[in-house]
Amino acid sequence: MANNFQFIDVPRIDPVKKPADERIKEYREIYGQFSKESAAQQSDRCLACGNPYCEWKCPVHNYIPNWLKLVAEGNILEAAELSHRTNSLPEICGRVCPQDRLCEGSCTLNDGFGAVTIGAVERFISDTAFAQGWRPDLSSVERTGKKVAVIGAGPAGLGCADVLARNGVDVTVYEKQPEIGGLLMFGIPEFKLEKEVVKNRRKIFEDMGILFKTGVEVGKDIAFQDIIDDYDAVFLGMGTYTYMQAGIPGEDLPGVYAALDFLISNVNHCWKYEKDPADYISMEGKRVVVLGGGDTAMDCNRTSIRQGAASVTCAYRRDEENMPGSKREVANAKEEGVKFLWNRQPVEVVGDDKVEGIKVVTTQLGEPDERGRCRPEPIEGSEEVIPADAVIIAFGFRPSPADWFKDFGIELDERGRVKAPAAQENKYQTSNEKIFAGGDMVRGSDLVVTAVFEGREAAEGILDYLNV
Amino acid sequence: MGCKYLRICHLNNCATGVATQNNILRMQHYKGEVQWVINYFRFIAQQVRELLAQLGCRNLTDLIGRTDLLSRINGYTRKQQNLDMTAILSDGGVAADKPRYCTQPKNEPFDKGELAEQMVRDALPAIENKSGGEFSYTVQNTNRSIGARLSGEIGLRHGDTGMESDPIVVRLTGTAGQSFGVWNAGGLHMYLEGDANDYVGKGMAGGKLVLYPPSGSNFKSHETAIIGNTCLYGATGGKLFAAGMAGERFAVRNSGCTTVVEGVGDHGCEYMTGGVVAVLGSTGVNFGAGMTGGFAYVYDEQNTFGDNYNHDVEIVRIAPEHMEAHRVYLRELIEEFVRETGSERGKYLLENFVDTVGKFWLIKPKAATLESLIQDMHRTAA
Repeated sequence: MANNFQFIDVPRIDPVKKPADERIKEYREIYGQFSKESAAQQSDRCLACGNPYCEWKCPVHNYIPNWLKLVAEGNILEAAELSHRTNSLPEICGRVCPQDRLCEGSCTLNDGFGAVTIGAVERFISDTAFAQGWRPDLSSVERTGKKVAVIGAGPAGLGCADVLARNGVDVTVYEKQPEIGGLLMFGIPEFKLEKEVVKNRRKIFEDMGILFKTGVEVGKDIAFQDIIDDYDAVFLGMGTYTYMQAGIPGEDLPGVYAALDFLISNVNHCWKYEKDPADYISMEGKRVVVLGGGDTAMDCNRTSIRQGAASVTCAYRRDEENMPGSKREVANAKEEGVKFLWNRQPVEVVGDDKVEGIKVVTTQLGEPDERGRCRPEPIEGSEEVIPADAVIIAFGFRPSPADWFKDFGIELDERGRVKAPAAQENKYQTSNEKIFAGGDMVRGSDLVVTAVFEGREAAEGILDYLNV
Repeated sequence: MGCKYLRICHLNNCATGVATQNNILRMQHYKGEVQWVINYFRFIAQQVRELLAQLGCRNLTDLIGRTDLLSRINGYTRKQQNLDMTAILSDGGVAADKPRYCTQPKNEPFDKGELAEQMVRDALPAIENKSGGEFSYTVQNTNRSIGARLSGEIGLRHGDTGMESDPIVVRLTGTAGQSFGVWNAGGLHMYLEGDANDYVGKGMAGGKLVLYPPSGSNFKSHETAIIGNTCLYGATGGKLFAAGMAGERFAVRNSGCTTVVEGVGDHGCEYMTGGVVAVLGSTGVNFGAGMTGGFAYVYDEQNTFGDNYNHDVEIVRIAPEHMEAHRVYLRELIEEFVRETGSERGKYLLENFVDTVGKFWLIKPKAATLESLIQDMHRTAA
């Protein structure tokens, strides 16, 4: 223990990953768990840089070197305590964060030594602590007598509820789906996040005194006016659900699906949440083409494989180097048999009364745009048709503001996002002083961990607003 | 130059290969070039000159105390805006025409070094003729750096080790002031009946320093201080035997001296890189912090050493069969110590060696193997 040269003596070793031929048969997580010894051994590789790049890169600024040290010393419960100080869902972030572009990507050791396995250790800490019966300690919390409603039990809403509960506020979370988690439950496939984890998290939050009202849609099952009358403040964390369309001919043909509809239907099917069996979108025996290069596209690819698709092809308009998704997910998708077509831009969905193929044009990368990403430029005469029985569009999401927002004076920006800036007296307050908002509906679709962060920050804004 | 501000420069494990002696890190992970370092310092110097020129100054010393050149900015946060800067911006009441820094050539020491000069006058012929000789003096704690002048004269004529075969033996009684035996050269053997202040044997290169309590003392030497703090700082060779306890940071940065004492304070053998230390009694906390070379023996009578050593080092027992070389070496070391100092403690340990050896720890740097220690031991003995 405490070997200054551990990072040279011991290489980075990830938890064992199940072989691809085994994992495509089931909707289970593909990574194994560390043993206590291997977690300690890997954690000890951390250099504890005086200026921890991992911690700065992490959107919630986890105290990474500090809990790595605790794990190296075998103090798992203290590590869990520390990990929960900055993150409301550490066991979930440990599973679904793209660590290769966040903490592990900025790890000093990522340059030539192999980054510390931060994500796997983060997951190990909470899983192990929970298994040992550890629970967040709220025994010294003083009740404030304040009541706050949280709309949406996704990462932002849960982050907000967590911080409010730890500060003695009575929190009620309204969720239209039958289970909490938002996209954690219904969007992210089980091979990345098993749903028992989310259900366990619900239990932990309930033990902390957070009240969940699931299957209740605000604006439909309950009027927002009733909520705003009953509570001292309201937090909105409702996400972004309008999918970006490709804007190409044939997009409305049967057999063209939106990524999220597809993913949600699969979870609903597996967990028997579906209202009508016909809602299940099955790719069994089909030739599937997924359009897009982000993590959602990878989720669609790999779910299609598990459903027994005849073939799965992922077409993306830039090259592999310039794709937005996590490299790790691309590698996993490749292992599981997904075929990638780089530099292909879709121009038309081909078919008479259903999808028969997708016409793509080959692109080359041009000058970088204002965000520094190279624009794909079509090469003339390079059109080709990829035969397909189903096309899934995973181009990202746009905000989906509820129609009742305007009745309560909640202002939106030109892109439909709720205006709730961080830099103001009460962080993440909307134009209605009693209403706060955070997560994707404020910043546009982004990572789980950024939503958690904004939810937590908004909770502080609410505490300031309530003077507690 | 590749530095990523990891702030682990003190641990020898700099991942960018800048602040480390580790060959793998230096060879495979250092990305800089010599020329970059040169450029870096050149740029610093250039920028300093530019800034000086902007301020209308020619030398850095011209800037000392010139708080009139500073102006206050508002600060971004309320806390910053509320900072009271008057103390920092004050001229300290020093008149503009008075000097802003020390302009005296030096601070004359209280100690004129009269005893040291007397010793040089007495011993110089013996040094020049390389004939050796024996001299006696009494010392008191205002006599600082006793022995240094003789070591200087020896070193000048014969080098660090050239007089080892014909040593100058100095017998002293009393209390020596700070830095007794500092930079001791091979060929200077100093025996002190009494005690000494801090820094005994600092930077010593060779020869021998022996300290023992006045005859007729009725205290237990292994429970009584005989030398002060930070002894053997950076010593590179020679021997120090002290029949009593040493203070804190004993043998800090020792890189080659062999020494026996009867107890040490906190932080013993800190940053030690070579040599052998035998402690025949208790230690303070944090023993062996940053120790990367050499080794030590500690007699752990009360079974407390396990709580006192720093985990930079490893400790092993020397009683087991395969440690015979260490047992033999330790025994010879204590025998030499007893010969030189007459230590009661040493005699007790030797007489009961079969029992007492079981309570000794060998302390070694984590990276050192037991085999390499034995080689080091022979090299030290040679």
